[in-house]
Amino acid sequence: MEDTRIQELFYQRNEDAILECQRKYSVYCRFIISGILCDEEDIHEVLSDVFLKAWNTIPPACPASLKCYLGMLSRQLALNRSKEKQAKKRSGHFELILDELCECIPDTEKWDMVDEIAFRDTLNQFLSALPIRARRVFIARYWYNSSVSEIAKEYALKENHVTVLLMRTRKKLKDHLTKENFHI
Amino acid sequence: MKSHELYTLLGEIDSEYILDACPRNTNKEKHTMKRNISKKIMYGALAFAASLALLITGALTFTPTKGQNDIFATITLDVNPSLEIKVDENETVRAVTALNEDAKTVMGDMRFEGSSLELTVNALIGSMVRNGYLNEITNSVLLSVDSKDAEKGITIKEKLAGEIAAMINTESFKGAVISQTVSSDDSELAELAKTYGVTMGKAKLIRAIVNNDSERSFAELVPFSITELNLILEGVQSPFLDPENGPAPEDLPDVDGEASQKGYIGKEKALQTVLEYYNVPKEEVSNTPSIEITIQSGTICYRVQFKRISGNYSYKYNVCINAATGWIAGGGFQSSYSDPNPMDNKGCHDVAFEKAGCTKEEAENLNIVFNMEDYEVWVFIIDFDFNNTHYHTICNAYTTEILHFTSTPLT
Repeated sequence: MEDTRIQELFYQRNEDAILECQRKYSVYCRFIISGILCDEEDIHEVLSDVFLKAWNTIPPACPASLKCYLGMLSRQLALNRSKEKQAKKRSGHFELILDELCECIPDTEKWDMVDEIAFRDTLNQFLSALPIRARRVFIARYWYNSSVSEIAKEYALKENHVTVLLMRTRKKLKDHLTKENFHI
Repeated sequence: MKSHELYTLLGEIDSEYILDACPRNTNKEKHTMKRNISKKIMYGALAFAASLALLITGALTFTPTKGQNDIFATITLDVNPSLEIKVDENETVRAVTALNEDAKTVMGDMRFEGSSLELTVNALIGSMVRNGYLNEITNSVLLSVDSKDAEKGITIKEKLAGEIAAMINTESFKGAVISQTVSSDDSELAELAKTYGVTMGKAKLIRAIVNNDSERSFAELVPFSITELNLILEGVQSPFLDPENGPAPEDLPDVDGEASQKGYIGKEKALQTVLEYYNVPKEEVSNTPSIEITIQSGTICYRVQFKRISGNYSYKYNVCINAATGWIAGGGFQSSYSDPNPMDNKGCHDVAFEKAGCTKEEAENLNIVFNMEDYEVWVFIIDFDFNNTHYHTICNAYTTEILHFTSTPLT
């Protein structure tokens, strides 16, 4: 079923919207969730929560891309679950990803909505200036939580090449954020 | 925890990049059995998060309104963008209407029908911040609630005012929320709103200011933004901060936070400007200067008032400074000669009483004025009653010469 039709079902409060979402995007959402969580029960529950959340937020949300929206929900809800469970049930490579991010991120402790908006804009500006492949690899790693080997396979690169590419991109991000007055 | 927060923020990148980097092996569909999600939907509804609303703001669409019959309350948000939210008894949004062009920008592609009131307000306020309508200079939101049930209207007002205040109380700027209830049955208010092309909420705010400040007129205040009106309102409300002046009038709205003055020069600079302009040494200022927001020729001004004593002369300054530019907008000063003890100048008094044939103790309704406004010299103007006659004497303060004397029988 087309996404626009699924969204119409949401607006009509027709529960088939959830079934269609599950059918079409379970694999996609599960991939994202399992990049953050490793406990099968948690993954299963978060996956259900994603579609419930979609039901509760559409409307008012009318995403330009339903897939992307569900992906965002998956990522956020998995992260919330990860915080609840602390480190016990987190995926190992998610820990690694968080460690990598620590190198190049500002201190968000005292941030408010305005800072977050500024950061998001700066980040999108940074991504738009990146070469396509570097951007894809960066997003695969830090948005989709893909492992280095998965990324290497996806983009036909050597794992070492992916690691170096990610390292360079993180450094660029750090420099860009520093230049934009974010304190790393 | 730091990494978690940033990881969350990294999630808010443009959807085109996310889709562009989507792993190929996830583009598979899956056949799932119908699960008992209905109960979860019925009983397990999750609270909407404001951040999520912000996250999705850019990707939403708006549709026309429907179902006006069961509208329970109308909530209006005014900043400069003005929006109207209609909700049913369950506080479910039935329609959101942009009341001006800026409001259309705020709404963007968002679609609110069926969502909760709180989420809708969060999304709209978030969008106002994101689009720059709320910032450190324009920091005030006017929230007006018109409900079929007055009591519930107050509850909604208080709940939303708290929500909004929390949202706009940021590190970058401190926001202010003016909240009030309005009634669509108020025909006078409806007429004012219609005549001046403003919302009922803004009309009520202006009416409250005008009712409590006789110097202001409704038409004069219409062009001002909510933040500017909030500043003017502070001047109206300030006397009631002192309990001796009694409670604030009921028609004044509730205000949480202070109107921003960051677009203005500030009170200290306004005083400094006046002191420099009139070359007044600070040590000659004899009282605590009063600096209040006012309006002069349609612009926000600081009215600076203070007294100065220099030698035997005293001055009263009353100067308006354009709050934005710091230029002198009007006013000036009056000077007078300060006799240290004019009432002890017995010469003139004695002459006046002698002329009337009485003593000071016998004089009634005694009034003595010391000035030189209508004369070339400083004079005492002495008025009093004695023996059913009113005596009026004008006496040269230096020579005690009587310049004018009248006696008029009291009827």
